Order: sequence, then C-alpha cells, then structure tokens
Amino acid sequence: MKNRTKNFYVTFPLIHFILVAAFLFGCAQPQYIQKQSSDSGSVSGQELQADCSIQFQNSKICLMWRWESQPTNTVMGSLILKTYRLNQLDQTAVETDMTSIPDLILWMPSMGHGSSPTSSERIDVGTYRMNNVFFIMPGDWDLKFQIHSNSEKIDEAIVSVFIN
Amino acid sequence: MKRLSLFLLTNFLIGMTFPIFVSAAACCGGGFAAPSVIAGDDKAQLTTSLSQTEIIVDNVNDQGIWTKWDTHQVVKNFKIEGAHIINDRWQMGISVPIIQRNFLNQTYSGIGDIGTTVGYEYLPDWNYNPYRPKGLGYLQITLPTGKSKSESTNGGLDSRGQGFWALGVGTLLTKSWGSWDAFTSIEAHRSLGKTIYTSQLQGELKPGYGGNWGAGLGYNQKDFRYGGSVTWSYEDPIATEQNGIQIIDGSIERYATAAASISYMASDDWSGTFSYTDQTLFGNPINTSLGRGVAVQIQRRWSR
Repeated sequence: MKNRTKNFYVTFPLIHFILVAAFLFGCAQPQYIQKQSSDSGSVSGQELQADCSIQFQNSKICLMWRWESQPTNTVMGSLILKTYRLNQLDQTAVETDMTSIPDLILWMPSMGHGSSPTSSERIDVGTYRMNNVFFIMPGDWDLKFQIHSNSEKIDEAIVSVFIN
Repeated sequence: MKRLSLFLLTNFLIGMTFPIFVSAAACCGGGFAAPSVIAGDDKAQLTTSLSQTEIIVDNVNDQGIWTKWDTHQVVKNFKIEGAHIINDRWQMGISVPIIQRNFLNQTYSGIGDIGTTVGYEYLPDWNYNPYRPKGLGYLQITLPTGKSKSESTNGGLDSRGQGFWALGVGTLLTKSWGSWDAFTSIEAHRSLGKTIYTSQLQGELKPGYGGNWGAGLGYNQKDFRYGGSVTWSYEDPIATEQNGIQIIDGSIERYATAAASISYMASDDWSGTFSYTDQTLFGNPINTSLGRGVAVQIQRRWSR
C-alpha cells in the first residue's frame, strides 16, 4: 500500500505536469514579419555610394551589387556585381577585373544549407552578371562571392541579405 | 479479463502511435530518426507508414521570426520498421525510411537515416500495477544513410535526414487507467561530425547534442483509441570548421510537433492508425520550418 501511494505521488504529478505544460503554457506565438515590396532600395544605395564598405577578404578589392531581376519564390533572378578600387586622388570608383570570374554561392548560415547553383559571366571590366539566383526559402541568407583557382577558393566577400 | 484486454489494446496502440510523433519532418533534412520499439507484450512487430507533410511556415529564423511563401515543399515519408524481442525483456529494432521531397516541380527521393535500436524493459508491468508505469529504455544508433542538408547543392531538396552518425538513449513510459492511457518519452542523442566537400561548402561539420521530449494522452473505446500528444525536439547548432577554424556558427533548432490520432485494432495481430500532425501550434520554434501533415500506419504483430 505504501509503495502504491509512493508510485501514485510520483507518476500522477509527473504526467500531469507534462500535459499541463504542453497544453497550457506551450502554445506557439507566431511573430510574422511584414513582407516588403522589395529590398532593392538598399541595394541601389550600396551601388550609388561606392564607399568600399564591402571588400574581398584577401585582395581588398571593393564590390557593389544590385538586382538586375529580383528572384521570387517561383522564378530565378539575376544580379549585377561590380568590382572596383578607390581612386587615390578623389576616392571615386575605378572598375577593376578580378583574377577570374567570381562565383556566387547562396548560403543560409543559420540552417547550414545552400540553394540551387548559380552561373556567372563577365560583361565588362569589373562587371559581372550572376544568373539563376534562386532562394529555396525566405529568411537570412549570405551572398558569398568567391574567386576560385584550380577549384580552390582563394578569395571571398560575403553580403548578408534578408529574403521575404 | 476485460481489464487485461484493455491493457493489451492500450499498449499496442500507444506503441503504434509513438514513433509517428518524433519522426515528423522539420527543416530540410527531417527530424531525428525515430526508434522502433515494441511497447506491448509481443514477440515481434512490423510497421509500415506513409506520411505527407506540407511545409506551412517556410522559415523560422534564429530570432523566432516566422516567414512564409505561398509555395511550399511537400515531404512524403514511407517507412518500414521492424522489432523483435531478443529474450524476455530485451528487444531490437530497425527503422528504414524512404523520403521524397517535392518543390516547384522538382522531386527528389531516396533512403533516409536508418535507425537501429536495442531496448530493455526496465519497468515491467507483470502485475498490472494501477500506478506504476511500464518503462522501456533504449539505445539507438543512427546510420547516416540520408544526405544532410549541408551536403545538398540544391538547397536541401535532396536532403533526407540529419546525415550524421549518432548515438542516442531514450525511454518510453506508458500507463493506462481504465479507458484512459498516457505516455511520456524522452530521448537524447549525440551526433558525430563529418568532413564534406561540395561546390558550396568545404569543411568539417560539427553537430552536437539533440533530443526529443514528448507526452500524450489517449482514450480507448472498444477497438479504437483516440489520442493526442506533443513532442518537443531540439538540436544543437551545426558548426562548420575549415582548417580548425570555425567559419560558421550555426544556430540551435527547436520545434514542437502536436499530433492527433485515431487507431483501430482490427484483430490481435493487425492494427491501423491515422494521424494528423501540426508543428505550428506549440513551442517556441527557432531556426526551422514548420509543417502540417497526415499519416497512415499499418502494423502486424506476432504474440509471444
């Protein structure tokens, strides 16, 4: 009888606690973010400023970028990447080629996965187009512009964006 | 006799519905492999299940902000599970999932992470004690047969599991009172790192600990059981190292899966379960995707 009482006092409160916690205190409280019409405004700002706020890590060459065609949740987009250095006289942008055409890797750092592969082409001096840009889901993404030599990454610049 | 029948029915059906809840898919790779255990008093059991989950909230970021699009991934999971007793209180089991992921007319499918289980009934219920629960402990080894999301080069569409070797321990406690029953389960695991080399990522993935904690309640009426449960899941951040330097910190992942189920025991050997799962109802999810899904499960048992 003593054991039964002891078991009762252990088992019943335990299950009771779990169920109460689950159904009363564990309800999800969604915080949805408001969808923005476009984030191209801030992107255009980067290009206009050309203040070398983003650089490749090793070469220290500056970059700016803008959407040429902003991707949606069903259609791939493209972006224009410009690489430049600052003129020593007046700090204006001087477009500069990279040692090879940059690759673009789309990476979601919090979840640890990428998206579908992109392709890139050179348009002019220091000007590249990145095609097939598509984000597999909304959220915080990194645009990783990488320079490769013999399949090995030798330089990289990372830009964080929020896709919604 | 009636009490014994109800007791057996309850244990069959609790055991049948238990694995559904911890295997519900979350982001990209899917949840941790569910254990295949015999919760009743059978010699062996074979279970097949088919589930379909639609991702409703495409992303919950590491700040807990929910974002969703109007197009979603759909994940189908066909699973075969088998378990057999080794001797009176020991058992072993295996779980083999086949996962298909579909998004925007792209479909990828393949085998997921295989789970192998050794269980021990440390709290038997030979005398049908009215208070003491029946306790089953298990040790689980997960085989990385499913590609991890970090190895995927298409955003995780071809990812079918965590993709790591993992060692886990867990317990399942069940109890029935008359027509009512309850279960609670807790599981903890440690995933082991691996080196990957893809066009998108090169380095060593460093996962950590993870776990599931669930509880459920059921009502039994004749050959039917109506049940509900909630299971919380947690995974440590998956960091990435290159040449010994951590380049990606990762973020913890957590979510809760609520489930409602109805089970029917067609005979002493056969039973079936239909369940509905929803990951948007409970918990404070972080760094995950949330889905809703349905599952059907058929189980064949062989009595001792």
